[in-house]
Amino acid sequence: MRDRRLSRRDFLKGSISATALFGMPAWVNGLDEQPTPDDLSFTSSMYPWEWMPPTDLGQTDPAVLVLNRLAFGPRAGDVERVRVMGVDNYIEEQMSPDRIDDSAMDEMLKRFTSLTMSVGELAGAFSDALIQQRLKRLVQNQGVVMDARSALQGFLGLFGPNMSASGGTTAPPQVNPSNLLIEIIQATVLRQVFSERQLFEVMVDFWSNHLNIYLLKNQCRFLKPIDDREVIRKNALGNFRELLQASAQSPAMLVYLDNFTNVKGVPNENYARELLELHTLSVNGGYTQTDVQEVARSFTGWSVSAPQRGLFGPDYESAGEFEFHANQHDDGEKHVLGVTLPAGGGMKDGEQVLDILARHPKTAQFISTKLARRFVADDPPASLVARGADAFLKSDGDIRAVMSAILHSDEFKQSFGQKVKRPLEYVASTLRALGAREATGSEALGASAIGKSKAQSGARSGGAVAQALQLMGQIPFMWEAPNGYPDVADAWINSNGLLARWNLALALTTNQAPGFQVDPLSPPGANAAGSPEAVVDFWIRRILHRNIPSPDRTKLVGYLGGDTSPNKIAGLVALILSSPDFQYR
Amino acid sequence: MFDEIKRRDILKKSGVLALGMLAYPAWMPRIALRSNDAPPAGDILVAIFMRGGADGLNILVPHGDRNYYSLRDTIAISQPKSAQPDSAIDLDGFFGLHPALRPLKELFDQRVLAGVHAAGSPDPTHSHFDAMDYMERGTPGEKQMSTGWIGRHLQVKASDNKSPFRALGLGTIVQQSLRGPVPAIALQSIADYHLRGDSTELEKIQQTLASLYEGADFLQAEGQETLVAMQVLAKVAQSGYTPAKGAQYPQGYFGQALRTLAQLIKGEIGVEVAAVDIGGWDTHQQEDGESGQMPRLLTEFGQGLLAFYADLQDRMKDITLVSMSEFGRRAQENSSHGTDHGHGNVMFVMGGGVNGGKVYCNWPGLAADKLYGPGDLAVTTDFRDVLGEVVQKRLANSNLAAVFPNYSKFNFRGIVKAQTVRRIDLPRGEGLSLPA
Repeated sequence: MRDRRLSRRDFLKGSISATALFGMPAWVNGLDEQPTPDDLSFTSSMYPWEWMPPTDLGQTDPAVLVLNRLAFGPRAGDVERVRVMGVDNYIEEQMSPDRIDDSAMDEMLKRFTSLTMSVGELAGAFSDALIQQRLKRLVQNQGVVMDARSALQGFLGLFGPNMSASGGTTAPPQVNPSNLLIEIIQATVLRQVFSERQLFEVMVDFWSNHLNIYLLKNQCRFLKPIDDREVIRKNALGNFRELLQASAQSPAMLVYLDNFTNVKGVPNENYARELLELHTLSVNGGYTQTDVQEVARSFTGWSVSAPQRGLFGPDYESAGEFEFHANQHDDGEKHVLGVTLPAGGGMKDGEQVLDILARHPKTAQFISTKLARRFVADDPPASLVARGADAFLKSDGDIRAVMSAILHSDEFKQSFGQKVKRPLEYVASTLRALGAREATGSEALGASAIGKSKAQSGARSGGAVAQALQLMGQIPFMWEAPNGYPDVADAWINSNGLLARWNLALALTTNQAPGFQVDPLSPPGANAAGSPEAVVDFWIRRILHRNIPSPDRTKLVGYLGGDTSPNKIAGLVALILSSPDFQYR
Repeated sequence: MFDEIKRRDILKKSGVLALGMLAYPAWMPRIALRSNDAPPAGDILVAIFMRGGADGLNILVPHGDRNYYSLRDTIAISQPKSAQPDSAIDLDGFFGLHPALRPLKELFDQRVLAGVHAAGSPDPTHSHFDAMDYMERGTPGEKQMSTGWIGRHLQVKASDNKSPFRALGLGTIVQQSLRGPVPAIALQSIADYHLRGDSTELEKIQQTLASLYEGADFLQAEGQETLVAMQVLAKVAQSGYTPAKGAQYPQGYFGQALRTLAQLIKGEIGVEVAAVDIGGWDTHQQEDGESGQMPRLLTEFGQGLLAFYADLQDRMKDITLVSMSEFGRRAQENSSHGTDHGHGNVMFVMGGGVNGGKVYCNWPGLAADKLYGPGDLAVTTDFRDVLGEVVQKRLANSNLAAVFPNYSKFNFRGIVKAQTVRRIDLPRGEGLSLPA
């Protein structure tokens, strides 16, 4: 049996050589010419199908560690800056984002007008013909009028494409709806790359996934930008109970998880279930199906305001806001997780449920686990999680308190290499490492980045960044399920994802990524006669900020082959960015 | 530089490496074929996961059950009538198909498609994520195994298939069901599967990448997989692809994934199992009608399966496709013309080896006292009975205890025919033997 255990490479080579004898196409022989890693044998007993973090990177410079965890990777000069100010001071600085000057970022975001629009303005400006038609038909096809259907009708209404927010007969909308979709995505990625408030952006990403909303679900297209602003960004480093309240009342969430159709008599369980399973207690939180149903009853009537009838058409002024419909609320007595909510509670029912959940030890455990997974390791140490949960409960859900417990722990300090960059971190850290700038006047991310399931927007080509994110499968707000993007290496490291990373590195280092500008990669001050070893060392330091195993360094020197022309240096940097070493953080 | 001596030794030991000289068009690249005395290959498995909890009651409609209509006031699919375009397509007098699944009726009539109803997992969970996890791991109620059922099947099955394409996950993230010691390649598109940039440097860069990704851990191994896959797929992509006449794949990820898969199967590069997803089935509101999800999803699903069958034609006798979803949906509709999470559901099995044209089901009924939990269709066929039968009878693997641990009471319904043991027929005298 052993004889037959050919390595894959050997097997391929064998059959290829055979065909060469019989005049098969020449390309078949070409496979022979590719280099073979010496130890490439995929016998089933040897293939590691789970990622195990490297065990020898724990002593890496703490400045490098924090810049890879609290930030989306170091830019040139960042490591020195953090060393000088001290890691603890850096952590404190990042924990108070309001005190960090981010005016350059604000300037960059000015052109994204949708980010500061009110929901009325967005709803009025956003005209998607498909949604209009679908909504129109929906309303027309209704039979018997019930409370739920009236609510639905009212909210959906008739979004006339040419009506302004004030209901007058003004000019057609200025904003192209596809651009609106891109703006929130573009802004998010740009912030991750360029904002000085890096920890804040990491937390915004964390909570955006924890309280996931899929951008393309119906009205979420224009409601999610509001949610991003009013729910996530307002509370990312604040208090969990307040975050939960904002989320429960968020029109985007009410639409995404169907709670705006959750009414007395016929409850809709979707939000209630995910609130317990994904937002607070976790799936092992000990709640029952009955609890889910009682929570659903508690949130009946939590709905969204519909456009009013204006003089000349729908008035969007106060549309898309949270509204509690008392007449649709199931006001009976409820029993949730062992607590009795007396009859007649009205909107307080839902708020009491949020109180119970926000204070619950299972919630503390769950939130601490997820934060530790984000900041320390895919499988976070139980001791650390326990301390984080403790901090959560003692501080009444102060997110900063949990962060502090995690970031000042020994487990965190020794954890470099325990996490692998997900696509967004890979993209952002690459752009930051290369000192990329936004190319003026062009779109950083194109329409095709979000058009993956809509044939209509497939035509325009996005930049290399957008393509990479799409190939790797992590475009912000485009994860359909409520659980958000996964946060473990096993989910992201596969052949498709690696190839996308390599191609992005190649595009950026040769400045062929539309939307971003990368300056030529010649080492400053070095002349063309700099030795290949020195050049390699320079770029290893510059990109990785740490030493790598000597064999890897030798391979990179071998690549240069004595040639330090700009072309080769671009290739060298692309290789460093593509190497396993750059995938760890 | 490669090791000539090692290769020759290995070839000497293994005897003859024969290549088939079957009549394929010249442009189809063939790289890895099995030797003459290989273990039985079994069918190619295509596992389709309908993500979100597909509403089986509206997909394979029990129009013969009166309770179906009283429970679904507005979203029930009406009984089969010749005049009505929106009514169920009758299959056997009791079950019918959603009208958007007309393509499947053809396959059903040709007896290559079977439906299984009231199928699913015994675990009561209504959580998408848990239910998917349990189903893909093949261990309901348990998350200890980090491997998937297909991963374990590949692990224990006697095989000499060393192709990197043995296991394929179509999409951006490799499906949990494929996780295991046999590496799976994640693939979205053949055309893009190569390094892009200035061609003179690319080769050297690719070589250096290969050396940087030497090593035995997961990240390195994935890198090696990627490089080999790139080389093979580059050649496949060069040839271009035209589906067989009559194969009209629908637009969208699902159709294109099946098309890609068909191309790779025909390319004979060693694909043995493939996982494909089709998402969007979580129809909590506005399930049907013009603005609903179901007609669109089912059109994509049905057209995809039909196109795949039409594209692969004769080869379908060596392919078994099976679809599943993590759970069905509540028997009674909710207040938003949709349905909440349920339990029992439909599975489809398609292929040349299927005893098709039939719905396999021990129908529990939809009367109030027959419903499960908060009002779901009960499960009377464990999903492992369906998958286990496929594994044993079509995939040449009788080690079901390894594939589905902690499950012993398999109850095969006769959905597929037992495969006769066969080897690849290689014309005598045209095989090749290499110099010893």
